[in-house]
Amino acid sequence: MHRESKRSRTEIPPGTLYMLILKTLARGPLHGYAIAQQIKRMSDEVLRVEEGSLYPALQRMLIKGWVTAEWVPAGPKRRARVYRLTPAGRKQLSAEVSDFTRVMQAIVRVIEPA
Amino acid sequence: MNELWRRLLVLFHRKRFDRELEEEMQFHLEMQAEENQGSGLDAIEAGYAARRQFGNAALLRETSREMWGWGPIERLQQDLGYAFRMMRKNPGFTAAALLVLALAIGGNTTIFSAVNALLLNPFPYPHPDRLVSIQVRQDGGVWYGSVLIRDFFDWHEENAVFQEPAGFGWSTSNVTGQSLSGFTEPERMICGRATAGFLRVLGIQPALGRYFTPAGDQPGGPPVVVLSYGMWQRRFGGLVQYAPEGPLSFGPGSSGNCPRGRVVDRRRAVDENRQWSLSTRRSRGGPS
Repeated sequence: MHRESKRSRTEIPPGTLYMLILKTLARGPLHGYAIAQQIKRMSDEVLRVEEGSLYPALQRMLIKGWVTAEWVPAGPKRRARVYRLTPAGRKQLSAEVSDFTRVMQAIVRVIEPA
Repeated sequence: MNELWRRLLVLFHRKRFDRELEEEMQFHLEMQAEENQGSGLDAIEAGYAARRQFGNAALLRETSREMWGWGPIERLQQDLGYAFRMMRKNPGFTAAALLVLALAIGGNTTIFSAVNALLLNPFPYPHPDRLVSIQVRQDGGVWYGSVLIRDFFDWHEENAVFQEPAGFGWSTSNVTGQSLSGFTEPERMICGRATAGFLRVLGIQPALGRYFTPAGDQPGGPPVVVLSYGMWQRRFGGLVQYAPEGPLSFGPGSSGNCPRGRVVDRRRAVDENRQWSLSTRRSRGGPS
């Protein structure tokens, strides 16, 4: 079962994970699991975020101040940690998106059939 | 700056950080299991599947903590803790090692301090290589550092070698009279008695006011006092002009108004007693 899902799993291009997470949070605060789910859903199951990269990435964003986190009750006996984008995070997001778009367009120009 | 602050907070609240991360992972696992159940697995299988998908939780925790950048320091802390535990388990060896270290460090420090003070540090005076100290002795006798005042001045008159003589001696004196705060307690303090050229030879300038003049060297000349910085601050409040209202006397037995106090800058005068041998105190031996 695990092998099955690995075959259809594409690697997230390096350096874009932060951008994806930030953009997801720009649509509204979410907890970690929901972030992964939403990325998976919005990319039509193409992009799957590994937990092993999701949580360290979230920690890094906490350090840099791009997101804040708070505990929110999520059921009778448990709580979830919800992440929210900060203004600094918004700025970072737009910077990364513009960088990424620039690089993408350049790549497309190169690989386009001449 | 904020970033560093956040990282410091995590460094000092590690247990809470670990607990919260654990809780977050747990929540993620539960959500995953629920979704697996929704896809048609039974409860236990769902849990297993979730854990498989989650991957290595411990590794994940480690990686997450590494993000905060304190990895090397935390490892250092662990190593230090281990070292101390091992030392506690071997008290004999630890004691021997500490003893050797203490002796070595202490001995080194002591010897260096002595050598530094005596040999390495130059005199804190200008042109230290041109300062000499003159001693006298009787034939076959002991070298004395002190000479009679009259002899001191005689030498200076006939002197063709030395640029300027300077004489100095320690004594005590009673300071009475008023001070700034109005109290009139007499103080007994250590003072130096010096010839006119003394401070000039050592290159010390008074911070305020005038210094000794040659006239002061003559018997019966005007008595002049140079105050040390500390005394100036303490007893006279650092004033520049000070006219004592009552008799202010310095010196053994003498009284009468002193002229305005002159002030000398703060220098350690302790060296004089060692290095300088010409003094104005009476001595026992005579010159050879």
